[in-house]
Amino acid sequence: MNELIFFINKVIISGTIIGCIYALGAVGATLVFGILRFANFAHADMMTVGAFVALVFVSWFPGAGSVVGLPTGFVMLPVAMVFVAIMSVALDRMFYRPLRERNVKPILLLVASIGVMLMIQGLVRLFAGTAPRHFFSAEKKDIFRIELPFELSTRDIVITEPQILLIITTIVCIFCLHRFLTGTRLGKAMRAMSDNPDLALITGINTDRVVSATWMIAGTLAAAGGVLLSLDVILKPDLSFNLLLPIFAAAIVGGVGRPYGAIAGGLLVGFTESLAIFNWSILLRPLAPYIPDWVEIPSKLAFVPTEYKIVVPFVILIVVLIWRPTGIFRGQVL
Amino acid sequence: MVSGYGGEPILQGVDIALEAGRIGVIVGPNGAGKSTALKSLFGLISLDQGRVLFDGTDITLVAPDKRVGLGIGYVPQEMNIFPSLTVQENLEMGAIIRDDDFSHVIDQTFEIFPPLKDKRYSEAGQLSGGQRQMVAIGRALMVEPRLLLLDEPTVGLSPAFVQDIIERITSIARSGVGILVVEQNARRALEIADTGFVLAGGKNLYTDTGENLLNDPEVARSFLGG
Repeated sequence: MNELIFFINKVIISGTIIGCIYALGAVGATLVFGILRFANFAHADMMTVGAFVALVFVSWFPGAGSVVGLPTGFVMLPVAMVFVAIMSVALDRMFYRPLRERNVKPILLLVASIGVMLMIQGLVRLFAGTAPRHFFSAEKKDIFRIELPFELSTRDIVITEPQILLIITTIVCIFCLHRFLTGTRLGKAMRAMSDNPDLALITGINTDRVVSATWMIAGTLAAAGGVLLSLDVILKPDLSFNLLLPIFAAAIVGGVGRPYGAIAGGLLVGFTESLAIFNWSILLRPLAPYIPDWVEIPSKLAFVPTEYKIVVPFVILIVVLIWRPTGIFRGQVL
Repeated sequence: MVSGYGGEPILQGVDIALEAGRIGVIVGPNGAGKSTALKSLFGLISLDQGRVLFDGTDITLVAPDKRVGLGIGYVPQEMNIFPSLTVQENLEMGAIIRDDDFSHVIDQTFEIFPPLKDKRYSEAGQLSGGQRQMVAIGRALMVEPRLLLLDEPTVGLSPAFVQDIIERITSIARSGVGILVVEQNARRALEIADTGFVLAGGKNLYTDTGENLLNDPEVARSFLGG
């Protein structure tokens, strides 16, 4: 029984957590790609910026969360979302729009985004240093232990308050996005422009407005993902680098330009990652009496060692694209 | 009009004139500049020489998306729908520049194209070729244009659908919308034309009523396949 609980903790919960983060990041990346036709390499850094903005506000208003009984970092989430949304639009005006007005090829926008990525990483290090930060240095992280009513179980299912908030927030964000994309004129115009930009233009869709809205949504979701992730783990300036590849893998696996695909892709990549680094020998231990003596169960039996976790998204990418070349949700052709 | 994509102009002097509520048909061999003429009228290609007048106003320098607001609808030949949007949403996008209540126009569009009504919540990309064409024309009708520009609306359709679309075009015109259509199916199209324009080599070759052009042995031999 304990082995099963271990599996739930290490795969189901941690897979959902990291899957939600990847989904929040991948949705933004895929929306930006759908509208502007370039892979925004600075996307993961918008997530780090969101986390650091929240951290700064936590240091300005320590203990503000105790008023409502939530972690202070989580209370600062809306601030970070607004900040990154505005920053995304500002970055577009400064760097990407001038290029678009010159009708450059999308590849140039991609290269520009690498520049923006390096710039943001430099700025974050300049202001926040390189030391790892923690949201819970001043307050206590609530941990919930769910006991299972089985005789054989001595361990509990463990989930922290930030993790619960993360899952709830992700569901709320995705629900709001869905309502926006299918229920509002601007949301429909966004899908239309992603479908067929030339027709959108001659139909009279205000493409400037759609572009700004896209950046704001991408920025908002990126900030949410960044803050929620760093509430769960330690915040380091190089967080974005570990996020960038899984996020794009998730976006491509889901089908480029397909927001729902990005969510599915994010969860798929998150779960697969957790499964791949899970130590399966623990699940084999209860079977030990039935296994002949000459077979020794190794103490560690994972598909990939934890430090090679980053290869998992690529494996998924290759496998899915062989089976369905434009992604699960049949995205745009690159 | 004289226009092109840089270099030697494709249109070397084409005149198109259409009265309100009439059907004009542009026919001619491949490369005659039929589509270019339509794009030039809508402003997708800027003119090197000449003017575009709409209701007596010079709109030569008005951007295409602004011409939609003036009452000109344009349906491109290809990629003329939003495939991942539903039929209903495609029509709503056609009305994006309207701030008033346009639900009655959606109802009218469903009256002109009854097959769309059953499919209103289906993704437009999943429809048959003929139905997609209906979505495309319906989208352009949402601004209640006074002039509709159609670029080969029957291309790639089976003969039954060609007849269907051509009949609908006539009924749209009867509601008072002027229609200018570029057509490969020259004979069918000229049958419904008030005015026919035969283009060749970027110039007007013949301009007459559809009936006269159909009966003209010269036109018949060169462009209608005998």
